[in-house]
Amino acid sequence: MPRKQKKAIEHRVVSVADVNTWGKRVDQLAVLFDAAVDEGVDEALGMFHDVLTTFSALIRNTEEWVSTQPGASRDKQLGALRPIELTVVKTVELLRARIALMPLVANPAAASFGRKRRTPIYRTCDRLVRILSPEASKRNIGLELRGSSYNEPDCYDSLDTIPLVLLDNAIKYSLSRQPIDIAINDGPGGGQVTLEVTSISPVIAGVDRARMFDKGYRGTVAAKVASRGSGLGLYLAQTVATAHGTTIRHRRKESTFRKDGIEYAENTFRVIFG
Amino acid sequence: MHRDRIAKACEPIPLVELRKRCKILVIDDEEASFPTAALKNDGYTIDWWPRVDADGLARLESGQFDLIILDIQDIAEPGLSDTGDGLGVLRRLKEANPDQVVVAFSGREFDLSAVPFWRLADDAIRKPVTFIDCKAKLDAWISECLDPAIQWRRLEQRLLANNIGPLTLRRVEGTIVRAARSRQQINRDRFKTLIGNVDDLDTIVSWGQRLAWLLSLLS
Repeated sequence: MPRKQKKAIEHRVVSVADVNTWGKRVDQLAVLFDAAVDEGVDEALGMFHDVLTTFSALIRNTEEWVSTQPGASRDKQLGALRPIELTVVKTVELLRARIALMPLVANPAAASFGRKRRTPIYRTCDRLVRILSPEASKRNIGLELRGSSYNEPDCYDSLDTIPLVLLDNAIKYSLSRQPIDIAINDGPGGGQVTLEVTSISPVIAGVDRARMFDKGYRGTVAAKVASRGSGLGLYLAQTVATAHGTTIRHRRKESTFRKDGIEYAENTFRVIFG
Repeated sequence: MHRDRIAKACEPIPLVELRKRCKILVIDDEEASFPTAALKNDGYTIDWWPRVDADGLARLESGQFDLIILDIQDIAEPGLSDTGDGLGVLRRLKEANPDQVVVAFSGREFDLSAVPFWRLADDAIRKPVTFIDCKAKLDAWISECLDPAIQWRRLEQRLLANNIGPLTLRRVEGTIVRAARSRQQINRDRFKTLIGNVDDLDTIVSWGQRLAWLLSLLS
């Protein structure tokens, strides 16, 4: 406030009634502001719903097209597609997986909608590896799925979010020409399954490590390595993990080397289901 | 073991056959949202309604369909329910028949006001959905809805919760098997004599009748 203005109101006395009036006006403004925000959010989400409708039609058309290919099973029909056609199908699947994340931002409770069912974690990750492989190939990154898992813990449909985000991040931040290791094994306890995603990526330490699961947080190095990113991925994955009564944990080995001024190390994200 | 009688009353039915027998209804104003045509071609007995009116609701409340896939928006005729949308229809269905399996089907997970809809339903399918994911979800429910062993386990747990002893459990099981073989309704008074005037009597009788019907269908 300018000094002159400050002096003018110094030592002025106001009545309790005036203060109460001002308080009520602020409350009214807050209500109007919330209504305006809600209206804006409703409009945006309404448009999102329209996008979903159009995307549903795209999925139906893609499925119908695949079903016209020769082959007695879907796998055989997909095998009959040309590489570029198969990439289109995988892109539609990837887009669907990514769209499924969006409602969780507005409504984290959605992570626990529906009924838990026995879920083959290995098969889920295998499917995601296949649809993410074109993205990984662009950076000459190999996705190596290994391990042995027969347990099927009870999980919500939202479970897909966790491996999707971990793999997506690994592809985004990993050094090119370095493999990403995805290990899925039964245990440690009976009926449990452990998923670990390991990649050579920028060192995550200090404040970045403490805050990496915070909503909207992007690490100091992240923006240098990958220009695009909302800072929501790990937050959403951890939200879904919490809905499943588990936690995603991070560990890293000591820095392996330095490139373009950035330290790299082997980073592993681990989560136990069941 | 008393549960052997239910298991012996019918042979395991292949999923392909169960898909034909399970009556599924999709209620959604946007037909393309659910792969109804593809599922029909794949052997499922599945219908689609764009909306529910008073007559339709009466059919749903009578238990005509084993499984209902229900959207939330623009599917209810005005005045049909207190909320005017799928949540109101869902509430009415559950009031009429708590055992009716209803799967919430919508893209409005982001909508905080729709949370009661998702929570009241027995399961959820998010839009957009693929044919394969639909099949997996439907097959899981078909197996459960039409599996006498699962239905008996559920009934048994309810009986045990009402402190019904093992001997009475055997008698209940026998009553259901006999009703299935003779294709007759279970006598409510007979059940009341067997298990007593427990609070859950109506639910237990309803579940017993459904189980007898399933056994008669599948034997």
